[in-house]
Order: sequence, then structure tokens, then C-alpha cells
Amino acid sequence: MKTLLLTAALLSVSASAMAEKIAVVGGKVFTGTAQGTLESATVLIDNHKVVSVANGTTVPAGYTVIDATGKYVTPGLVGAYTQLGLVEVGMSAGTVDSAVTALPVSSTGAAYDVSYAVNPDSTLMAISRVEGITSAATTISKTDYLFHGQGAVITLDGDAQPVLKPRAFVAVNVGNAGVDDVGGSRAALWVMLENAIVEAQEAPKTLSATTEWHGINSRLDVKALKPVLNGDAPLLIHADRAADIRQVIAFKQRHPTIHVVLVKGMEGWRVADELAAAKIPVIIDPEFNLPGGFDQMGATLANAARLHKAGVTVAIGMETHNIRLATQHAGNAVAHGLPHDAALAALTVNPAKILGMSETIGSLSKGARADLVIWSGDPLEVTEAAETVLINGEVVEHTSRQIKLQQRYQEFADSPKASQYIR
Amino acid sequence: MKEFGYQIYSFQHAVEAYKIADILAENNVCSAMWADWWGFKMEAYDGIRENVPMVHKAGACAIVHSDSDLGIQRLNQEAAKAWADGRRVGIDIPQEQAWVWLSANPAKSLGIFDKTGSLETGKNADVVLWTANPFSTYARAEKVYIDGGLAYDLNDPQTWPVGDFELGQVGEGDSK
Repeated sequence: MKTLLLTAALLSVSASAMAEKIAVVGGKVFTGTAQGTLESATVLIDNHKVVSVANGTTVPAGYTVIDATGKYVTPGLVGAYTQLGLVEVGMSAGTVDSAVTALPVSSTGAAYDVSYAVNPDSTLMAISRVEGITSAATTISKTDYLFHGQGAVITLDGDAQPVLKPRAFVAVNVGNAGVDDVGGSRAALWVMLENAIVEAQEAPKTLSATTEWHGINSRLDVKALKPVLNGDAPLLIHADRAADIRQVIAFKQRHPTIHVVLVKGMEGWRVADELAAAKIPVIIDPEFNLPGGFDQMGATLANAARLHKAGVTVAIGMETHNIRLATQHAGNAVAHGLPHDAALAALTVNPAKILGMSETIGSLSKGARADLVIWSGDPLEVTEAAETVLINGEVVEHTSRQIKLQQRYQEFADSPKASQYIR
Repeated sequence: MKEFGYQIYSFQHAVEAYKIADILAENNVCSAMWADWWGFKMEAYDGIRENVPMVHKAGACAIVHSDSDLGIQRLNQEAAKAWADGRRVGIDIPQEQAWVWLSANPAKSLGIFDKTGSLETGKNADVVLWTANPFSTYARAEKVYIDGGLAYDLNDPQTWPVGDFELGQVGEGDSK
């Protein structure tokens, strides 16, 4: 066993040491940087990082060339809001790490930490990465607490260490869904939220186990909220109706150091100018265009375009098993007025910025992780697909449980009829 | 079905139809399938993107469905995804044939193919004019005729439906 582990360790060292120098040549490149979109360009990758993006097809010596002529190249997509790595089958009887039940370590839910829970071997990882999702924000979806714990930013490369940034953000839901679990009324939830935040602000920097403490937050909740208060970890606030979003904006004005992000925001377009002025970005699924509740009456597919037009930073990608459909969602936002480049930014650089990770993921900027996707054509067209995916400078094997199922039953269908057990 | 002498018209969801496509074909049973939904419960864990085209290729009746108030609004895109996913694994079905997944085949499975589901003399004039090839994300239904009447015109907000529920509420008359 010891030998095995040693061999594995050596292998992983040599694999990373020998990461190829790769040139992706001739594609139409959306950079996610000030370079914009280049019609025919070359992306150079070395030592897991982006070295440069330049017009033309010139490749220095020593690079392995991947031809992307006639194809589209983008940064790897960043799943803006997911439960990836925390859930295999949500409605199964087994453990689902995206749902949390009560424990005495937390009173407001902020303390819970998904970085302990991410499973890089989840089938969703390969299923999503072969379609261009290379990293994601992931956090708890179901809890009776005010806060949905501390989320993490993860890579989908299947590596033993999937967490790129633990405790990267804290989430809270102030819409109907959140209110239903916390206090039953906004009149209760907002008093709870405001006081949990103020209390964490006034609490001493460290609360040791022997410090007397009677707060509405537990000691560990306070610890989790401190990075939120100074703006290091964004606070992701779910809200849909305009009145709730106005409360979110007022919250931001009361607590200007907090990096507030609006999530879901179905009526965001009604307060788009105020959101832009308050510099509050939004994470949405633009396809939510129906009044699913009395806090969603203004839902429309034009939300993304209207928010963008007002100057709001928009990220698209709220799903888990089908986070791969974020491209379709973004495409439909384009069909309803969002500029194409803004839609690509909404899938890549904007979520990276929102998560405080823009130097690492979401763009093809010099020094960024070499997460890159070569698409058969326009990534937002439902008929096009990711053809080659690179994560951290290495080409991802194009396989997944779903691909293997397809191949097994295709072979079965193509073979002479046999009634025996397939294995 | 055989034992009790009745005919099943369609299986709904049919996430694993691709595993028994030949048997479905032999028994003349349709499958109404998602393009790509999967994994929300164990019965859907083996969902694959090529379900619809694989069932079609086996000669069985394939239907693309949404089971969703969002997906049904853009069922053309669900068909487009299934069509493209099939093509990528070598199941090359012409687009005009793939269109039966959301027209003729569901009509047959519901027993109303004599009235709708294809453009044939004498049938109800249920017709859509698209802004572009409906296998594109960017295509929108521009004019929708139901039984010969113009039910929706993308360019005329007066024709956009406003339900009783929406009257006097935020979003009344807005584009959806």
C-alpha cells in the first residue's frame, strides 16, 4: 500500500512537472479580458497557466499545437451557483451534503463549511467538465438556518484536491423560499439578518471557547461572518421581488464594506439602475420567466438584457446536474436582447469577478489557470458543443458515466441480437 | 399489455428507453423523453443526452418532452439538442425528420394525428412561422396560428397573452 501511495505521489508530481506547452491556434477567441474577442488568434499555455493571447497563428518553438481553426475558444465556464460535489442524486434516500440539519456548532448557519464535503469523484464532475464547465461555486441549498453556510470555489478536474478556495462566500435567502424557513415573515427574517451582521461586527476579533458569549450567532458563526464584513468573502443574497431587492440595496448602504451579490433576482430589471449605482452584481438564470410565486410577478426573459443595459454585472449559471445548460440559458438571454459578448462574460469572467477569483479563473489573462474550451461553433447555440476542454493546462479526457452508458447501449444496439447480460 | 390485451401509447419520461429501444419498436410504444434532464432521482440516474435519437434510430416512436413550464416554451431547442447530440455519436437524422419528435409523434401518441401534427390537406391549420431555423437558440416563434387563427405575433404586443391571474399585477403585458 505504501509503495502504491508513493508511486501515485511520484506520478502526480511528474505529471504536473511535465505539463505540456500547448498552443491553441486559429480559433475565434473570447478572452474575457480587455482584448475582447479576437477573430483568429493563438492562445499559448505553459506550466498550467495562460502565457498570452495574440492575433494570428504564429507559434513559438516547443509548443504542441491544437488546431482551433473555424472553432470558438473561450475560458473554461465558471458555474456561478451550484451544489456540485455535494449532491449525487438529490431525491435519493442516502446522504446529500447540500442539505444540512441542526447541530449545536451553529445558530445562524454561517459556520457550516462545504469545503469538507466536496466529492471530486461525483459523476457530475466529468459530466459537466466535458461540456466546458471547469470550475464552480458550490454551497448548501437546503437548510432551516438563516445562512446557507460558507460556499467554496472548486475545480472540476477530478483531482484529489478539488477546492480552489474554501470559505469563499456566504449565502442567504431573503425571498419567499428563505422566509418560509426562517421566521415565516420578512418582518422576522430581516431583523434576524441585520442583527446577526451587526452582532458579528461588534464581537471581538476572536471568540475563544472560554470567552463568555450569548449571541444569536454561535462563536463559529461569528468567525465565518468576519470575512464577509470586511469584504473578503461576498455575501450572496437570494431575492426576487423588487421590494426585496430594494431591501438588499438598503442593506448594502448600511454595510458598505460587505461585498453584496444578488442571486436569482427575477425582478432585478425593475431596480436595475439602483443595482448598478450600488455596484451590486447579480447571478441569474434568465430562463425563469414565469410568476412562480407572488415575489416573482415581473419575471421575464428580458431580465438579463435589461440589467446589462443599466450597467449591472450579470452572471448566468444556476443549476447543478445540468449546469452544462448555462450556455443555452445565456443564448436565450441573447435572443432576448443581451449582447453576445456580455453573455459569454456572464458565463466566465463575471462569475469569477463576483467570487473574487478573476486573476485565477474565468478569463484568458496572462497568468490565469489554463482552463479553456474549444467549441465546435458558437457556444451559445444548442446544436454546438465543447470539443476539447483544458483544465489547469491539461486536456481533459472526453469521457463520463453518461458517455460510457451511451457507448455501451450503442454497441449493444449495433451488435447481433444477444439476450445475455451486458457487462 | 400483451397479457391484458391493451395498447400503451407512450411512456412518459422514459429516461432509460434507449436501453430497450428495440422492444419499444416491436411493440409500437412511443417514449416521451427529455433531451438532457437527469439525476434528480435514482430512476433518472442513467439519463443520457442521446436517448431521443437512439430510440428514433431503433425505429421506435420518439417524442421530445419537457415536463416543465419553462422547457415547454422552447421545445424546439430541446429537439435541437437531441438532434445534435445524436449527430455527434453518428446518428445522423435529417432535421425535418427530427421535427416529428415534437409534432407528428406526440400527435400520434395522443390519438389526434388525424387533426394535427403535420401540414396536410384537411388538418387543423396549426402553423408556426419562425424568425430563423428553429434548431437555433436564437430562433423565436414569430407568428403562431392555431386552427387557422393568429394566436401570437412576436411583433404585435397586442397579441401577447395576458392571463386573468396577471391582470393588474407587475409584469402585465410584458414580454415573457
